[in-house]
Amino acid sequence: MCEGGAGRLTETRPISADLFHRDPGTVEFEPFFEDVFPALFRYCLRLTGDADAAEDVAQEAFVRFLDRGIEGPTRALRVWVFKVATHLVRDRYRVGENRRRLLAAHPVNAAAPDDPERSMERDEVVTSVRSALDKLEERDRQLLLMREEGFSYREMAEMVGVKATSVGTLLARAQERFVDAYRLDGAPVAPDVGGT
Amino acid sequence: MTNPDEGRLLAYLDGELTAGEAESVEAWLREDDGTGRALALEAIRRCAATVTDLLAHLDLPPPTARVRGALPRRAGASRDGRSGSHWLRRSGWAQAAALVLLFAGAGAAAMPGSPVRAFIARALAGEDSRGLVATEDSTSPAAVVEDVGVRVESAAGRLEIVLSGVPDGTPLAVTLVEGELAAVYAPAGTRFQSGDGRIVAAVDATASGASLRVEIPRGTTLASLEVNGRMYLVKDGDRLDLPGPSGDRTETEIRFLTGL
Repeated sequence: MCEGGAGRLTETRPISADLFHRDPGTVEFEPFFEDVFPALFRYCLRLTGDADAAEDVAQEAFVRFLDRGIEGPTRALRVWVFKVATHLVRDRYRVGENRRRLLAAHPVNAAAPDDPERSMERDEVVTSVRSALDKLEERDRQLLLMREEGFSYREMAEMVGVKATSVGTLLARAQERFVDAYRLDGAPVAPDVGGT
Repeated sequence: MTNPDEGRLLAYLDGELTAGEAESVEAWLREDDGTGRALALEAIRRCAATVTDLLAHLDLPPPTARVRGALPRRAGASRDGRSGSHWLRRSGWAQAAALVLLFAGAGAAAMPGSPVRAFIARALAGEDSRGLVATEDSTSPAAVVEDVGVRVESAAGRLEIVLSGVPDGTPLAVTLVEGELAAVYAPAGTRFQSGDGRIVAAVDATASGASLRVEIPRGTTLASLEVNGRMYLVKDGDRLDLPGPSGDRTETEIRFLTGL
């Protein structure tokens, strides 16, 4: 046995061996994946509050991408995988109730707990941020998170099914509600967060 | 102009307005009548920045390497350069290969002690009805019909692969590959677990007659392959030890029959 192989093992869903050798289309897959996956995982993590669920959903979105041979400009492909992931989260993870349940069972730290006191503060901030996100309507939450990933208003409109001209207003209100909810929660002031 | 609402101001900050719309907002800002228009814009900017900062607290490092290892990779020209039409053309080869396998299998079945003979005996006894597989060509066991696979990167140059539940007489090919990803391909139904530098696969016990393929990056410093509790291969730098059953060895591949 290798002494260095003591990492945590997780159940891993295998992929059809054929797919390992499949040409996914006009876009070079590896650079596309390297570029999009971290953002997609972050989006799913923020949406679900559960790292395992986020990984599962992000992976499934890319499997579908390859399985269906989706082609097109990179920007459109990015929208496609995010849209698929959003639907998967909605279908599988029932965001609000799941997040609360998972949060109670597995509080998520944003970083390794080097200092217990600092770690506790961080946990409080994380809990309050999640709680504030929970208070938003699903559409507002998605818009908020998509904006953070750099989507255009037109793309966001397509993904959540509203007019592009409404996105600015919906976003501004969602941001305000989110920050208000965070503060009303009696949340600690996050060290790197400015006031409005 | 009429006062832009907060949505329009955010769109302005986000660069989502047309040039004309943006000029209109800028004109409105210049005509400040003392009601703090610039402050209103600044409040929206700070609110957006606060959202960004708060959400960042939820982030964790993305498991990019692990997921990439489990995903299909783009077909490399060095490997096969397949396109859809290639696959169609190759289907004829697959049929021919199946015929070759049929004849080869018949020949092998005639040999006492042959695993093929054992397999056919089991199949006739009703123990197994799904073991016969067709490969596209003899150099590509990874393309065995219904095979599935998992890939991982080595962890600091170390790699551990553990296979269990492998029926005796199963062909196992270990290939040293370029790149950083190790892989295990096994019949559908195999249960996989993976972690940093590790793949653990519990092979479906009904998959007798199928084959297994393991890919180990040539650059791995220390790698081990264990099958049913028995060490088959240890790679230490450039040295390869085969403490388990003897295998047919070429420069890039070692072929075993498990349990023998």
